[in-house]
Amino acid sequence: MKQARSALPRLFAGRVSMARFVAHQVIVFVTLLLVAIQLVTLVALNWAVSENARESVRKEVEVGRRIFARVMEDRTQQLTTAASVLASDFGLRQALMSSDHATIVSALNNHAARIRAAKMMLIGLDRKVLGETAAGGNGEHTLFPYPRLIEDAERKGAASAIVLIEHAPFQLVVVPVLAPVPVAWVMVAFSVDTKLAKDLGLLTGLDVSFATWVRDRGWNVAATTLPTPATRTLLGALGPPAGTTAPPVAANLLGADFQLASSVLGREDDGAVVAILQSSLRDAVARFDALRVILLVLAAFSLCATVAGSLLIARSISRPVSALAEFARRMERGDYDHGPPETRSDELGELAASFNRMRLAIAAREQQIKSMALQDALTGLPNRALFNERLQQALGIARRLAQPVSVLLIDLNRFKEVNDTLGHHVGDRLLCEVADRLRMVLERASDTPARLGGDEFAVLLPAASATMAEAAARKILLTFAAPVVVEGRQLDVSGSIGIATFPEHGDDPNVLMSRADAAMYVAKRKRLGYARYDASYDTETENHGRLSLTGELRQAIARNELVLYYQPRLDLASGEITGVEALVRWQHPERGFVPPDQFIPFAEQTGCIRDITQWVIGRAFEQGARWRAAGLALAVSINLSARDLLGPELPRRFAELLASHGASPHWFLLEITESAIVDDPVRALETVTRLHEMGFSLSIDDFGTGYSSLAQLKRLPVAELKIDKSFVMDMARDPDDMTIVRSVIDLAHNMGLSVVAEGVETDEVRELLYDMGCDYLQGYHICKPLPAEQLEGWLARGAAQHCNKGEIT
Amino acid sequence: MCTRSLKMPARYRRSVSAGVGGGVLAALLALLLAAPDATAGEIRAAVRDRDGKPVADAVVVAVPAAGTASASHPGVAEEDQRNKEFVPHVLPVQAGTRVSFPNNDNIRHHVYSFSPAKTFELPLYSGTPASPVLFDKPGVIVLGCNIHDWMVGYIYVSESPHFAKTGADGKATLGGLPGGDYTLRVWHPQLEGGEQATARQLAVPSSGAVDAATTIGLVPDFRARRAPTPGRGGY
Repeated sequence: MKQARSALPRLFAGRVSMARFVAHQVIVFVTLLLVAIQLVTLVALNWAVSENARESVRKEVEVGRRIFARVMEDRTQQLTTAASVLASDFGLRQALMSSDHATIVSALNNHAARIRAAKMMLIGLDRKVLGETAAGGNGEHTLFPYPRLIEDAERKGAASAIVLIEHAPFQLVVVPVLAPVPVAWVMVAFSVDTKLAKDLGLLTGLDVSFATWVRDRGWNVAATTLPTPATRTLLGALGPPAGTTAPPVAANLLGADFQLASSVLGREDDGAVVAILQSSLRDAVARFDALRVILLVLAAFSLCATVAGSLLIARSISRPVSALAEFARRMERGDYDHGPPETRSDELGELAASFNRMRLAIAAREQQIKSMALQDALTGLPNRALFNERLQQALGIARRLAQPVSVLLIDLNRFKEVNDTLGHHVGDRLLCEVADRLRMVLERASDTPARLGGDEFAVLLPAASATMAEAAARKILLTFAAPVVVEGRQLDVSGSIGIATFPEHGDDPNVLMSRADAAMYVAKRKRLGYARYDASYDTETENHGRLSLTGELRQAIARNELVLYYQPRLDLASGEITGVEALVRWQHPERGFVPPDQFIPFAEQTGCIRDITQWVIGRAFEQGARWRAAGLALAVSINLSARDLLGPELPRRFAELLASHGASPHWFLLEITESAIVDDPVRALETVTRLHEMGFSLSIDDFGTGYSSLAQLKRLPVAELKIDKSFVMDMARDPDDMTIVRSVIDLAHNMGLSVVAEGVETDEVRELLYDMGCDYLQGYHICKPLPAEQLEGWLARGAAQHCNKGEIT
Repeated sequence: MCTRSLKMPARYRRSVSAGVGGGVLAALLALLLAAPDATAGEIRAAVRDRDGKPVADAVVVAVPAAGTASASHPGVAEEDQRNKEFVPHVLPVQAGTRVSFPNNDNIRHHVYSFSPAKTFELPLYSGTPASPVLFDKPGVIVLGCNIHDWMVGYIYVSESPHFAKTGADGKATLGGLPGGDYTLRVWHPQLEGGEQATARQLAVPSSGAVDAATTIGLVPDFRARRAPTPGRGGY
């Protein structure tokens, strides 16, 4: 119980594991594929985004740099213009030319305020400062500190530069005071401050910083749009204060995260002003963050959808597959009763349908095989195997319940003849009829009829005493009494039934069967119909039944127990013995003489007849050759069986013997029965024709007993007919027989055949045959079969006597 | 003689030399009138720039070493404003000359000077102002117009009565000079360096001419651009 419980989940797991495995494979594959695709996409997108951002930032900075340059240029122009306009102001000029320092300074202050200049300065043509804003009024004329600007202005009419004044950056514009020729210079200074940086930042879209460098003080960020931490970073990147000249600002100053452009706005010996335009790559990349998030969400969604979808699909595949697998397992166990669980319209449904067809086909075939194994194919009755099984079972039950069990063994009488003469199909129909009758006559369901083989049937009667078995046997024989009609022919069915009963006749199935067999033999031999086994039967069956053993017969050939006898035949025309028929005899070492009709039919059934024929032919040739050598011109007739005619061996054997004995085919006559031709006419005819071509004369033996047609006879290359002795023996008393004999003789002669009459036992018959014109006679009246040496003696003694007798009669 | 030409009525000059600079006319007159006065010496001055090109509008002044005769009376002169230009561009006058500034344009001008030699202002006016301006201090007075930045005129106030202005050929003749030693100076609006640098001693014979060639350096003219005039497409 515990085991069963633990086995159940395992069974369940095993059942689903295969399908799960497929499903998992599908899911894992699809998922991995999707993830790989998405990874590639994301990586590619990331790369494209950062590349794009880098490029766009680079462009932005480049554009910003141009805008910056242009704006600075424009601003310079504007400041210059503004300064020029200011310097042209008549009032200012008047004030400046007044030579009154206080006036000059106040005018400068006033006008500087007008254009929002940080400083303003009046410089004489001699470059001495004549006055300046926000300066003490000491009136001392110092030299203008930026002489280059004046030089520039002299050349161009105006000049501008960005310089450091007390470490702060200013844009200076120098324009002349025209009256109307230059009479002085006015310098206007505009601070480079955060406002400017912001304006420029707005225009360029970049962060704009104005960095100053002063010798020994280093870098300072004078104005910037950057937030304080970024300013600190920039300042940190710009480096320490060391150096005597302004260091250049490297493009990668802030590392890969920033793109920057720098422009040196002013440079002096001990100071410089540098504009730094920068844009953060990270900010540019961050612009794509939303896109990235959307993509990630999409990827996650599609992954989920794919996994869910493939789960569904995999399950929709794996479930029916599991069901089919379960179905196949059921079939494996031999359960063919249930079809596949569900029907679908797709390929799996088709597979299920195929499985179902397979199931039905296997079931049908198994049924067929089973029945073939246990049933007789022809009659549909249980075969010997099933019968034995049932018998075993019945005996088992009988032993427990102390019940009797009876066995009937039925053998059909003369079935062999029916088969031989009318053909197997008739025999088969007969057997079927017998089977049907057996089935009908047995009332109890437990009674089992069976066909053991050939014309041998058996009936198992469980819980039936010997007396009850006898009653059953009687009933069976009664049902056999009605003739069987096959193809319009009425066939008489008769059988011999042997009865053996458990426990009195034996308690073993084999013993029971053999005893039933013995009883059956007795019944058959004594024509009792049925016989109950008796211990005395054992010896009798020994004597008769056991002769049929093939091995013994074969041994007989090997041990040379067979003997050839020769029966002379009389040529009525010459009155001489012109031929003999070789007849085989068995001199059994224990049983003594065994007549041919006790072993020849059996030899024919088992095929042993071929060996016998071989032996006979050999002996007959030897004897024939010996007689010829001795001057005895005796034609030796040899009997061939139906089986001998079915193969090519026989003509070959004859050819060998002819060669080895230097014999002529005319020394021999080959006798075949009608039935030999009937069994397999094509092959038999072939062999017969072959023998005829070799020069042998052929004779139809036992003519009139078979069913051969005249048409067949016409085709056969035979030279003579031998009228069966059954017609000849009683012909003197039976006018029918006489008519038949006469007709056969006439027929034969009309067909150009000679006629031999067998079974001539009386002088009367001999006379009649002589009158009828029969060609040859054979029978006890002439001479019984004799061994060769006796025959030779007989010939020497009384041949003439017989001959004369014939002549006289 | 220059002085004489300066005395010529403006109306007359206007009739004979419309569109021609007054300075050029004066020079021509000086040449024409030089021959009859045979008793006085004269200086035939020629001014060239460093490229050897004749320099026009250069003022050549001869200062007698003996001092200036006070007998001479400076007269009046005119500095026209015509077509938004001062005409003549350079007007040499002897100290004490009164110069009137007739406005021949149909717009107003505002003539001024911040020059130390004479600072004055003629606020917006048209026609001829009531009173001429007296230039009594030697020196150069740069004239401007407060309305038109490009208008530049020069009045050279000479302490000596002997001066002349070069013409287009760069030549000027100072005639009627009593013989003696003179200091010859050349001034030009674009003169490089000071006027004193051009000073040279020169002996002038009582009769006859002496040549005085002077080479001066010029600096580029520094003038405001002329505003475009509507309908004329130029300055």
